[in-house]
Parts: sequence; structure tokens; C-alpha cells
Amino acid sequence: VSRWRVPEFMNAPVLGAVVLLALNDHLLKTSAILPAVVTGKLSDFAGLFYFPLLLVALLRTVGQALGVAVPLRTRTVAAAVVGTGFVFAAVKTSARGAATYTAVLTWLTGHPAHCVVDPTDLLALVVLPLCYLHGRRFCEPRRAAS
Amino acid sequence: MVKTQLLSGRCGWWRSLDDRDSGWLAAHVMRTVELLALAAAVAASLATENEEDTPPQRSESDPVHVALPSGGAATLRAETVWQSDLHYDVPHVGLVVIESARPPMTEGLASLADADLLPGEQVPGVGLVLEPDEKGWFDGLYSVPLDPDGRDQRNERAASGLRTHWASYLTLWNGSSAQLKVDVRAVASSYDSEPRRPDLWVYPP
Repeated sequence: VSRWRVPEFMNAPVLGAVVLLALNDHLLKTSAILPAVVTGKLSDFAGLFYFPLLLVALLRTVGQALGVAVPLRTRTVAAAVVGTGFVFAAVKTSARGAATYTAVLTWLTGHPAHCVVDPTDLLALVVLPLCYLHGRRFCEPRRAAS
Repeated sequence: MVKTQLLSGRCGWWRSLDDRDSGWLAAHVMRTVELLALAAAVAASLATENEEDTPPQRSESDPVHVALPSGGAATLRAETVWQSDLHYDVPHVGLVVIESARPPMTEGLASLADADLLPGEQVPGVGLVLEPDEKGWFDGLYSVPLDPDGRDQRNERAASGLRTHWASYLTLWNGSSAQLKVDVRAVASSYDSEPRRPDLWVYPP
């Protein structure tokens, strides 16, 4: 039994995806180790794998801090996966979506952000089912009705 | 006495921990690690689209060696084309880089300054510095913005996205012969676009 409070996030595949994204953004993209077409997509794949579970973990962490128990349910993971996929698709296919996303990100970070409308990035959506299946492993079993 | 307590692990600080629940320390360490991991993941997620992290696209031309006649002038024209798969216009910055120029070109320096890049000024995001030596010689990397404000820039809708065409003219003056080695570095804000290998012309040839 995991002793982590957010086991859906504190596991090797998810943490590995975070590390992969950071390495890709800060090392691989600036080096010539991999072609730009690969590094451009790698962050999308890694990010889409861990981001829904990060959202769930953040929600549960904030809930715990406020004294509100947020149980890990499959529908919570599913909602995070679907929401992430919807926003990603909107940002990658719509100039208005990209502009909105860029404005929010710039406001959050205080640094100029940019976003590329590139429908081919939607290929990365294939990892979302994997994210759901992986996150579901940590969900609490549904109690049988008495 | 103190030594005995330390060896036996029963000095005050450790004993206070020992008196608590056996998992107290481990739980707090795990909680801290958990929060640090979440914070790191949030930071990585926010930084992934940060412009500062976007690597420049570079496409260098063949070096061009220019021998300016005595009292003559030459115009360098640098041109490059982006064929991007993007479906809307994104800001790009193009640069002409002069690797070396001898002998001094003081009027050429004025021309560089006219291009909004002053001696000693660092090109944002690229790190190149325009700084001639005390004799006014160019010896190093010098950059001129390829007029990102739109002069002589054309965007064409291509079948698979946007074709962006840049051309810039840099007039070089010198009273004697000069050897220039020039390359163009196209710096795109999107790593998804690939600038074509740039072309360079010198007038008169």
C-alpha cells in the first residue's frame, strides 16, 4: 500500500514524464541531439501523460489542506483527462485558443509565452487513454452497496 | 554522559522524535517530497511554452567574401524564406551576422547603428554583441536585425501553411579592400518552423 497522499502522481511513470519534459525543454531542444520535429512533439507527449494526474493531485492536495477529503475516483481522473484533451485540442487548432492560452500563461509566469497552432500536435492525444488507464490503477475501489 | 546519550540515540532531540509515532518523521519527509514534486511539475508545465526556452532556428549561408574597391561601396542583400507549417503568423526575427570585416568600416558601423543595434548592444535572446575594437575593426560576431518590422517582408499562403520571405539590405562602405565573411541566422520563435538555407548577394558583384 502506497504511503503517498497523492499516489496517482508519486509514481515512476508520471515523475519520469515530468523529468522528460523538463529535459526536453531545457536540454534537448537547445542541442542537436534530436531533430526539432522530435523535440517539438516530445514535450506534448510527456506533458499530456502527466498533466491530468497532476491536476488531480493538486486538487486533492488543496482539498487536504482545506480539510476536505477528495477521494481518488476514476471519474475524477476521467474528467481531468477529457478536460486536458479538450483544452489541448483547442489550443493546437485554433488561433483564438492559442492566443487565450498564451495570454493566461504569460499572466501566470510573468514572462512572454508563445504557443504554436499546429494540428499535427494532436497526435500526442494518443497518450491520454494511457494516462487514464495508469491513473485508474490508483483509484479507490467503489464500495459495494449494502 | 553526552557521548553515551549520542551513541545510544537517546539525546534530547532524537528522543523527542523517538517518543512520537514511529512514522512521524517518514511521513513528514514524504509529504515534503510530495509537495516539492508537485511544485516542480507545476513549474515545468508553466515553463514549457516559455519563449525563453525556445531554441533559435539557425540556417547559415555560405560565407561571402567581399573585396570592396578603393572608394567604392557595396550592398549586401541577405534573403531567407521560412516555409512553416504554421497556420497563422508568428513573430520571427532574422539576423545578418558579420563574422569579420577588415579593415575598419566606420561608416559601415553607422549603417549598423541605423539598424537599431548599437555598438556593445546585446541582441536579445541571441547574445551576440556588436563591439568593434579600439581601431574600429569588426572582429567577431556582429548582428543586424533583418528588419522584423516588415520592410521587404512578404507572407504568402502556401498549400501547407505560411511562407515568409525576408530580405534585408546592408550597405557597406569602405575606402579600401575588405574581406567579409557573412552568414545569416534565422531565429524563429517557433521551433516547428524550419528556415531555408539563406541566400546572399553582393551588389555590385
